[in-house]
Amino acid sequence: MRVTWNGGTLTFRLDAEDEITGQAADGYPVKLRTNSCTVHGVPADAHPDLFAVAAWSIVAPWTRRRIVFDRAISAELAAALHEGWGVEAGPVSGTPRRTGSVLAISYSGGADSVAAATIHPDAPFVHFRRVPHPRVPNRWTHYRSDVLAKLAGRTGRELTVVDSDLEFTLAEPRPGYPEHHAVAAGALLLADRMDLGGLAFGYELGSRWLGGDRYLLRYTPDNPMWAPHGAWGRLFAAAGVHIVLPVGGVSEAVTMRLALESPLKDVVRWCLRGVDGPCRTCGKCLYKELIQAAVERRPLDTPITVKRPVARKWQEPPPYGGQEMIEYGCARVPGIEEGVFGKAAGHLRATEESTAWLDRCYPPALAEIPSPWRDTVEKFMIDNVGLMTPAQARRVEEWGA
Amino acid sequence: MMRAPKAWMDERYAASQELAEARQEIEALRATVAALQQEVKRLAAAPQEPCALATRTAEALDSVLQNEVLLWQAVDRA
Ligand SMILES: [Zn+2]
Repeated sequence: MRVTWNGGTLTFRLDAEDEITGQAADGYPVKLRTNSCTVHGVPADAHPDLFAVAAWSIVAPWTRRRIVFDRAISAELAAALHEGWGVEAGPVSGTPRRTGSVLAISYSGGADSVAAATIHPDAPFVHFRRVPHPRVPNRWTHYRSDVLAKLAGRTGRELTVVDSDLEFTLAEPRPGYPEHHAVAAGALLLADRMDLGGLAFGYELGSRWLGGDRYLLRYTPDNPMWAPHGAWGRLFAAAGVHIVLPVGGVSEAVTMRLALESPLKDVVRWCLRGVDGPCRTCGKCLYKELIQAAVERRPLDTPITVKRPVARKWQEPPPYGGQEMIEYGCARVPGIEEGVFGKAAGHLRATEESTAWLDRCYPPALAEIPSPWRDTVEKFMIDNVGLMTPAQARRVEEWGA
Repeated sequence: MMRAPKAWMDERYAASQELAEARQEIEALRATVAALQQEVKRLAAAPQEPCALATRTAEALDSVLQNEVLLWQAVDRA
């Protein structure tokens, strides 16, 4: 792989051994669509290691053995790439970037990132906004990135919106981040300008510790994407921008509660489709409605019926992605036996007691927060959430076993 | 003494073969896109399955961009 930055435009060329179909850090197969993209508003004088990590978050899935950057990277960054992925990276020269002092929040507007923002009330936001790619006709107009950016602007926080078309480098499964970390490409390139030492993401307990979403459904202390000692954690640290997961120890039930109680509650939006509010008809809206109904202890309020395609997977037996939250919801939503989640509830047979651990914070998640921000998160969790008992923590550690 | 130039020639030949094949693929694709254009015109009068058509157009476009990436890869290898 050879990458070239021209201003904020990244172009890359595949080496002989590279292929169009690659694999993201979570093992998911991803297919390349096109080999250029732009991150707007990039300072030309950012440290070369920042350009390198931003580029790597886009080209990693399709790189097999080596990567050649257009400007020399530090030996430390090359080592992190070699240890994490086994790739030879160069050219090498110069000194690594010094860690800054500011924590910024990679803000999506969803409940998880609102919860993270609530823990750090003075942290500036960096918001990624999808813009069209000049070479790819936009067939995904239902994705309302403009609405999300507008909501981010109403938070009253110091906000940098980074426009980028980098998601269109991905053909399959659909436009999206080639690696989850590509959402941070803009923040990385702005790190010198903002004096960043850490970047906080809204990844919660399920994503960090339970292998949530499209990743393996088991306990993942060595999660390659989000563990500080994982490949990505070490790469970000080598560039002086530590990955921080303020809500990495709590479930989506807790982030939902924190978001609904937050001063930012009116601008929370997890749905990417609706204009005046969530669309209420997509799979994500259904999943989040289950969690919100459970937190508010009320019946499910959804127009979705068992016949709808988005409800199909809940008619099948488990395992499910985000299963811990389905259990949590099924145990708490009145009348769950009727309706979309009835079948799933029958399979899971969860109770309030069996899901009580999802209302508390997993202590090892606090231990891995970098020291400049650990006390803040720890105090917040003790005051607002409470820590898991050893028996509850074992529920995390035996997940999927 | 002839071995090195011969290996070089073989490699050049293999690379040019690959380029020729890629060119052929692009030609075929061009024909497909042209045919698709005709079909769009025909269906515009009596829209039957616009969704299926849109999907096919999208797939064709994606493979054009992917082919471009593969061509650059072949060019760099040659
Ligand atoms: Zn929705």
